[in-house]
Amino acid sequence: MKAIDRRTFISSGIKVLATGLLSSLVTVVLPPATGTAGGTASREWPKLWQQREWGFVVDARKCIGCGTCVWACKRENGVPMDREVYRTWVERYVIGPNDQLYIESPQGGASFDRIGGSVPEKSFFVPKLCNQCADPPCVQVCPVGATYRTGDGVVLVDRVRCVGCRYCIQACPYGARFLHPDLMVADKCTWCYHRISKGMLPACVQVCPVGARIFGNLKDKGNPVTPIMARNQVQVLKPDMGTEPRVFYLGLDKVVR
Amino acid sequence: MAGKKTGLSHQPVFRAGVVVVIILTGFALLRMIFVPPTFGVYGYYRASNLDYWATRPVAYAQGTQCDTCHGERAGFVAAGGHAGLDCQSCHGPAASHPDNPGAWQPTINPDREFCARCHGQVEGRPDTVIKQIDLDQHNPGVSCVQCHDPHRPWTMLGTRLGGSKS
Amino acid sequence: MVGFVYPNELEVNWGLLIVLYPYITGLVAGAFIVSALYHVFNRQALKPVGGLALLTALSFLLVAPLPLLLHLGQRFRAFNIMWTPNPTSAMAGFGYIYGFYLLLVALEVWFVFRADIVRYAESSRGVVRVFYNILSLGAKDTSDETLALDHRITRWLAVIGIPAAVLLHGYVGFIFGAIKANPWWSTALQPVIFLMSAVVSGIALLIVVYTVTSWLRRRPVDFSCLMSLNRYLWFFLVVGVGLEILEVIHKMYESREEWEALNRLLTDVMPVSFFGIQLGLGAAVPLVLLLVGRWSRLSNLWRASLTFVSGLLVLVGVYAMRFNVIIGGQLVSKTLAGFASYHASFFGNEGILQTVVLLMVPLAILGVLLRVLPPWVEIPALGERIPEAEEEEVAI
Ligand code: HEC
Ligand code: HEC
Ligand code: HEC
Ligand code: HEC
Repeated sequence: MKAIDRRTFISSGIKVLATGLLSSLVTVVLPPATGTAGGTASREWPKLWQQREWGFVVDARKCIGCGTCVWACKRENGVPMDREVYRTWVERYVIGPNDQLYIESPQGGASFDRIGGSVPEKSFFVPKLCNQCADPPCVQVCPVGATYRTGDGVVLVDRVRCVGCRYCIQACPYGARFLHPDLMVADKCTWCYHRISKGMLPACVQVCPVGARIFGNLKDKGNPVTPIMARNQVQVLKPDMGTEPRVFYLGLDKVVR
Repeated sequence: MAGKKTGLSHQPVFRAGVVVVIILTGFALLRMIFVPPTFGVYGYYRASNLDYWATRPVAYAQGTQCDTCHGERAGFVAAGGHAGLDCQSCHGPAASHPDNPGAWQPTINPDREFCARCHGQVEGRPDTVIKQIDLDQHNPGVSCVQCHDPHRPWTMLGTRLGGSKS
Repeated sequence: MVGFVYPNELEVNWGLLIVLYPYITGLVAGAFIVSALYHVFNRQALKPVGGLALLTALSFLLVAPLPLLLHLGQRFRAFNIMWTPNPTSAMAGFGYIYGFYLLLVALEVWFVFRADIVRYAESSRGVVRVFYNILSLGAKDTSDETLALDHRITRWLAVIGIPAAVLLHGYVGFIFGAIKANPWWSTALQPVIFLMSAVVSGIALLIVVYTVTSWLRRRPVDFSCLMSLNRYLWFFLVVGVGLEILEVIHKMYESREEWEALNRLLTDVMPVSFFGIQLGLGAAVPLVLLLVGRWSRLSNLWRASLTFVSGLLVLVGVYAMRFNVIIGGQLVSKTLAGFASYHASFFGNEGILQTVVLLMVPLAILGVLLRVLPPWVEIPALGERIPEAEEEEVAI
């Protein structure tokens, strides 16, 4: 008799426990409620995004390696000047007589010196920056939802939520991310989101003396990017990565990765 | 050999279960508190972070802003070999200058090395894009701006737009 | 730095702390699987280490998140991974998988040792009694029926624990294996390789811990148990190292664009730690020593010593493997045109000293756990408090 009591007691007890367990598990596993409490961001972002889609073209044939963009970027975005971290940088490729390849980017390409010696077969500069990939691996891997791609095509980092695990840095095939040495959070090129949101050009584009960087809103009729894209063969970096980069290059050499 | 028997509420399964449920519900509650308010509005991120990025202060002023006060010079630049160059490519960030031009002005660099950043002969720099000089050969020892007006490089010494601050 | 690396790659972002993380979780997973071999698959030879393995797993598990935490740029935000885990991130699972696993192992330990706890509580006085009473959660029932239920639950927890251990560590492999940007990490084999080396390192750890604790307690080592561990270690080592080599051979044979860089990484940049330590000292040598250790013509002391030394070597080898994967992977530049350089400092965060300390902490925790819940099968350590020592059979 006692045994039966006990059994039913146990089974009902287990039922209660299981319900508690399940319900708490459900709350634990479900994604956070979307947009319920505490209001939204100050602007109507989706509306803005409907009118915007940023495009960036780099004409590698034009780059003179003056480094003005590298300095301007650091100043504009508060990236420590004396540290080896860059939101944008310029690489120099020098191909010697026997197909010898020499690549460098001293101080991110802020200033290039003469190399001297024999005259190279071919040499050129390639500016690099975040490709704002349409399928960004950095956003995919961020464990805390601290990085995201905006509706107008820019990948941003939430400096308040980033935990500084550096997984995104590992995941970026282009070396475009770094750990901000002062803030200890991931940092990267934002195409100067603060500037383009105000109708200005990204700092690197504005200061480029030769127009090697071209930027515009693809949804804008008179933007400078669309005609270039229409009349030229453009390339992207590491297309095999499947990241769908949104920085398009003109005149890229095969050795450039 | 056999130990004591106890009621259900003292059964190990029950006790362990209670602890597990307490931990899980406690966690679920904490999670409700700690998920930030605008998280998930537009995607898996904190929507208010968009405002942070959109409202960061700029260091480089809009290029056309200089024209409002330095209009004459801007026109002067635009008519010469340095047309298309932004003032701030050479003078550095100047966004904090227009508000109070008397108190803070952007940098001015008349060094030969400064011009050579763009014009020096360096491997990889295409001649088709920019004219280059050999820093050691082209009038060494004299500052470039002694002969070339930086604002219109083919305006040679003596014919410069001298002194004027406009 | 050799050749060209992206300017942002000059700093190696994941250092010794991140090397430690898969190393420690690997030890946990491996130790747990050994305990499961006893608790689930009933390998009686492993009985002497069944409880020990569980406590070892728990003590290393408690320390596992520490290197990750110390490594974060923003340590106080660590819990963001619990509040807003990104469903698309391989890393986001860590908090949940770890939490789940910790709960599981803690429950397993509790159910395995509960009868002991109750007994200790009853036979002690004062603070100790209060302590054991709290540990028992007030579940004092030691009737045969309940103990049998405990036992069944123990088994079921261990049954769940095996896939959980596989998940915990295979998942660590996935964190690295799923990074397409890194040619040295990116392979579907990575989780399996990590898992195998985890099991290997866990068994090796138990060989070492069991031998050392027996020696400290001046008790003879259970020889058949040790030989059983020897055989398991040998088997898993063959599989694990086989997979590691297969991976390299596969990459060599395919010779994609990254092979040239990987080849240089292995032969130029870190030949000593890859061929010398990971494959030589940490795999080939112990494979031979373990075999010799099974030769019945040798004296038991020799055989035990060979097994013990193999255990130590394997522990070093698996650490080298973690190092070569994590640091090595970051040395190969994503430009495939150069190598970053890495120098570990001795002091400070990410330093060598810190690694040593972090590896000592779990051993210290284990020392405490062994005092609180002695898992020894033959001799109860808290001897004077246990008049009815024969109950041990029921408890475990
Ligand atoms: C509000 C009007 C105003 C605007 C807009 C303005 N400036 Fe000026 N700027 C001045 C005045 C006035 C001076 C002279 C200050 C003095 O010498 O006391 C000056 C001086 C300068 C000087 C010379 C400083 C020196 O040491 O002699 C430079 C260079 C300069 N401005 C660059 C710029 C640039 C680049 C911009 C565009 C961002 C700009 N200015 C926009 C009013 C302006
Ligand atoms: C090619 C680089 C370059 C550009 C572009 C440039 N400047 Fe200058 N600027 C200089 C240099 C170099 C000096 C210093 C001349 C000297 O010391 O004789 C200077 C001097 C000045 C001065 C101080 C007065 C003087 O003539 O010495 C003012 C004001 C000035 N610049 C304003 C501007 C404005 C406004 C623009 C944009 C319309 C501009 N600059 C564009 C290089 C440049
Ligand atoms: C930020 C880069 C930059 C700096 C700094 C710069 N220039 Fe220029 N310069 C240019 C560009 C771009 C052109 C137009 C392209 C061309 O035809 O060479 C140009 C054109 C010229 C020309 C005319 C060449 C021609 O025949 O078309 C001269 C001369 C010249 N610069 C001199 C100078 C001097 C002197 C200085 C230093 C005060 C200077 N530049 C600083 C970018 C720069
Ligand atoms: C002594 C006066 C003088 C000085 C100083 C001087 N230049 Fe010139 N520069 C000239 C004259 C004259 C020419 C045109 C004749 C020639 O090509 O040499 C010229 C031509 C140039 C050209 C066009 C070259 C071409 O291939 O068409 C550039 C670019 C130039 N200078 C830049 C500079 C720079 C940069 C400096 C400072 C490092 C500088 N100059 C210093 C007088 C000077």
